[in-house]
Amino acid sequence: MEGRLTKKTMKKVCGLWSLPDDVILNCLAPVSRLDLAAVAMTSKELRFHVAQRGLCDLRFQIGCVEACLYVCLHIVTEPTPRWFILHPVQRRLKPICPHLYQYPDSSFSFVKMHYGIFIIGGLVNGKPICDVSFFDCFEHKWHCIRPMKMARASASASLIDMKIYVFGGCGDEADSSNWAEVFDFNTGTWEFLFVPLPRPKKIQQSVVINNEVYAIDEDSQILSFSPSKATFMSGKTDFKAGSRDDWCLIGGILFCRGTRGRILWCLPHELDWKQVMGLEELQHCLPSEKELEEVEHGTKVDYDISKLSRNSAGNIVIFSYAQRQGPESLELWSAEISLEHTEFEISEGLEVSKGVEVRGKIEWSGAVYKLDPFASVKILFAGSVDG
Amino acid sequence: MASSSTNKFVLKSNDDVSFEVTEAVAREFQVIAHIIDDDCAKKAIPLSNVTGEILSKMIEYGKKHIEEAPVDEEDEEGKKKLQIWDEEFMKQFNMEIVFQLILASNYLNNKGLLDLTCCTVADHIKDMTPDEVRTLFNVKNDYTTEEEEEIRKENSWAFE
Repeated sequence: MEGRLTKKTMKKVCGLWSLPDDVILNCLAPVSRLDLAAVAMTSKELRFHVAQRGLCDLRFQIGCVEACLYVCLHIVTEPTPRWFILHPVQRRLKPICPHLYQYPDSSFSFVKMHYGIFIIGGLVNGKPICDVSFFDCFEHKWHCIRPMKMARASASASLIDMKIYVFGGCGDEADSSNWAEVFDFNTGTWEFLFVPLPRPKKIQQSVVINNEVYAIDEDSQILSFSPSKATFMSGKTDFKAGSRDDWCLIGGILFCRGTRGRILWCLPHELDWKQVMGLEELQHCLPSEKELEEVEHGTKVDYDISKLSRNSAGNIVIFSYAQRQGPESLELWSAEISLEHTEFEISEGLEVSKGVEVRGKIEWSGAVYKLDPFASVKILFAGSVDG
Repeated sequence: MASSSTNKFVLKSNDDVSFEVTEAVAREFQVIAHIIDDDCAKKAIPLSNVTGEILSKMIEYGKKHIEEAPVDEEDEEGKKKLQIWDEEFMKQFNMEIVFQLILASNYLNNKGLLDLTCCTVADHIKDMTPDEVRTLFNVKNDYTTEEEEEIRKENSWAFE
């Protein structure tokens, strides 16, 4: 009799629905993004739990976040760029359901924060826009953010202390009073920031180092901006050709995309760009000079590294175009590279100095997306976001 | 004064099963620790939401975590040993019991057991299809055909 009673009580309380909402979130928080997608498809209520902001916050709180790589491709035969996620198991780029959103065609700036990406300004039908949006990478949804006061394209954007600093990108209309503006997350508003001369002439690349913006402008001038002083300080001039693309900072070292399949590195204030060693394999993966010449006479395909970015593990992720199976096939190819930084001694006669070498190791490489060989493609964004 | 290792308390389940435990084990459950602190624990402590079957498992977990507690934060070996025990401990339960353990550890406020049981649920979901998740959780598909199509599109990146 007693046993039967117990069984009855058990039946009544069993199942996921017997749990309080916060405990359901506790159960879902360690679930992978792929499995969460399956959970969301089971029923409306479970989808409600998966789509809750609280679930994403809890994942951050207990350290269960998963870094996913997002890529924005503009295929010229398509009217607007498309966003993709790198499937963590298949290692292929999968398009994200677009929803209704007016994307900038190109020249937007971006800032990554927590579980999403802020898309700032850009060009729509060739005209700069003020629009700012937030792409929530956990829910794959777009949110409109308050627009900037000025329309901007190819501006420089940096996140420092819960503020987004946007510089330039507004052409000849700019003066000291409107050249820069700042978005404050606490107030949710944009305000102009008065920046006296000297100001960079069109910022080409920038990174944030110790809460300061470290940038290079089109005159190869290095400038650093400190929010507390609201001024730019001029630094060295960097005349090394081919060091102006896809800057990224990993462990205090600045990396960039070089030419001919090379990745370059330097210490930010030394600017002595050197090649990342150990990646000869990478240069073999990419076509030889001869093949390049052949290509130049045929279809116009850029075979170099097309995009360099970093992932959450502190590894470099590169993208390139590959025509492995004959001229009819074109694929976007990607590789993940881990980095090792070693110091060694150089002795010249009696003098012993210290040398530094950065070596890369290809952790993974492969084709990630099949492209139309006759349509030109531009990678507008690549980067990993936690969610 | 009796130390927490000799001081004993009796925990009583909702189906009248009594368990005598040391104070240290009783204190593994926050709610019971408060009852002890409030000096309300003279007699048996009745736990109206927990069956004897579940309570005995919770006490087994609590005892183990007292006896084999890692020496300090740096005791990686101790932590690892306990983690292996936790994994083995959870293997004996079906989903029904896991959910009851979650409810009871939430009710008696034992964070370690709550996290462990919740992680067990998460592990079960791994690599499951939506249909398998429905069976696991006894959930009915309440989407209309149109809604299902839309949600499939939204999540197509994961499945195609």
